[in-house]
Amino acid sequence: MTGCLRAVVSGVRWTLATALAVLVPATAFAQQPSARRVEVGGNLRWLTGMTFKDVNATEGAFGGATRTVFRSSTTLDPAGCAEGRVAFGLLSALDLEGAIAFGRTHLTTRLTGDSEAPDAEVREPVTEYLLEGGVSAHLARWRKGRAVPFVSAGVGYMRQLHDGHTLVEGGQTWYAGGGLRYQKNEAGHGLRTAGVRLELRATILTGGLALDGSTHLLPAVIAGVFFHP
Amino acid sequence: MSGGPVHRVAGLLAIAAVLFGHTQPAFAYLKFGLEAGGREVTLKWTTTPVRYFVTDQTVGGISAADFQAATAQAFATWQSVPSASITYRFAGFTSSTPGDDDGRTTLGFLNEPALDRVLASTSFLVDNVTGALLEADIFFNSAFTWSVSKDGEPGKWDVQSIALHEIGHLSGLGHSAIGETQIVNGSRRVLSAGAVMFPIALGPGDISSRQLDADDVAGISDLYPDGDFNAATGSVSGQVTKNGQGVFGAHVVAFDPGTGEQIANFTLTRSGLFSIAGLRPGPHVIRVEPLDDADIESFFDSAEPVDLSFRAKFYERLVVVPRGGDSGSIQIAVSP
Repeated sequence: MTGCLRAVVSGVRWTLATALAVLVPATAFAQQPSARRVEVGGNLRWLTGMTFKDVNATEGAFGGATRTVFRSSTTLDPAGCAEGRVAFGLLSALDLEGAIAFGRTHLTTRLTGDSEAPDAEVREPVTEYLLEGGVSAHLARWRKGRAVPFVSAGVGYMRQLHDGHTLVEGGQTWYAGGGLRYQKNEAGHGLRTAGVRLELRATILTGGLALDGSTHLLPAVIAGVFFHP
Repeated sequence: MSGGPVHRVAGLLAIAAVLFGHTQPAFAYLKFGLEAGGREVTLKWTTTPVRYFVTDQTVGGISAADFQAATAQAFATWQSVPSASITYRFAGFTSSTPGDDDGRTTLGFLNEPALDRVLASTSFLVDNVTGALLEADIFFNSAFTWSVSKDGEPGKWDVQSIALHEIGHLSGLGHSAIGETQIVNGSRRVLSAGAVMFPIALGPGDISSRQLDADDVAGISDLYPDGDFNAATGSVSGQVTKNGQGVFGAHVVAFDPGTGEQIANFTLTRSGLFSIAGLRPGPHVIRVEPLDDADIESFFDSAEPVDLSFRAKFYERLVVVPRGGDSGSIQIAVSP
């Protein structure tokens, strides 16, 4: 009996929500997203890469002095990643979002200053998977027409495959960012709305994800499209 | 000594005397190997702690107690390597001297003025049938002046530093070639060393060699692995060739660009095969070079065909060391 009652109440709520969605003007919807909506999208994420601290190959000399055999400078090269994203409206201006990204890059070490061996640049391929979850807040107060700024923050998990599957490293990440959404009224093809999204994001990597084991900031640019099915 | 170059004796040569001239470096690390009972055996202690004695005599103003305290510091340094299981225990003072075949591992001074380039030396007594290590003695040459001062003394050789090197031999390690020397007026002078097991001491008064380097830690841990050392580290293996033929005696160094650690080995077969174990998982730079200044005798028997006529180079890729495994064989072609 109780179960039936709950089902009825739930049905009423959905009916009201649908009615509201139909009745409100389209522009208002764009500027003030409703809760309970679902948003899916595809992005291109450009990871700008990391530069690690220079490390020299040294040997001890008399009295505790050191002699440098050669110098090394290592970078994780920039990478373009394909990304899928899904978001759920928690409140009218707050989304719960998740994303999964995949990209390939290289770890590159430059070797210089060796008195016996010529300078060299050596590399290894790195494949990265990134799983993220967080919130995104729409800043409707600063909207410009159909363009609405937003900010985002969350946590993630990155998995790096070095040289194929020779070594797998994983670790937690944190991110914070912000950007602009531009939403069309009618998407067509059975989609209610669609739009484009541009975000600048800073991701913090820790532990084994960084060659030197220290914390690094990894800036990223994310651009893509989204739909409300 | 007035700044003259002084060799520590090559442990391989010391072993050769015991084993009637037969030595065979074990594959993977320059550790001591021998043939006993028709099979190849890695020279190492099978029972620990290794009990050692100190000769009870005062030499050059250094009392037996002060000498024992300095060498105990060196034993403690090796024993403190967290990834190695070997332990040592001081068993007392003795009237025996190093070199006595009495079943007692003994450290002490001997006056050997004829060995004017040997600061100290380690010799072993091995069972020819089982290959068991019965005794290892270290003598310090009292023809030189020595110091046990905490801060070292100008013009005097530091007992603790030299003991640290010799205890590496006593434990089964051979020499490391991570270092640089140069020939000045026909004599070899050391410029720098990247391992305690480098065969030439930096100089009298120097105490900077009281600490182990990465190559030493990897070596002792490879011989006496503790805990999850083998599962937590990995190795690089491969082959060095020149004109399509294997290169024997090439010095191969694995450099960790994250930490700066250098761990090395040699190609130890005529086909040019090498293996470097005890590496931190992750990318490594591999550098190949001929033995420094043709200093062959500190590492190999003079009959070995060590190739010195090729140019140093970096391998063209970063080599990724897996956790608990091997990189897979890499091929490094060097040029004459």
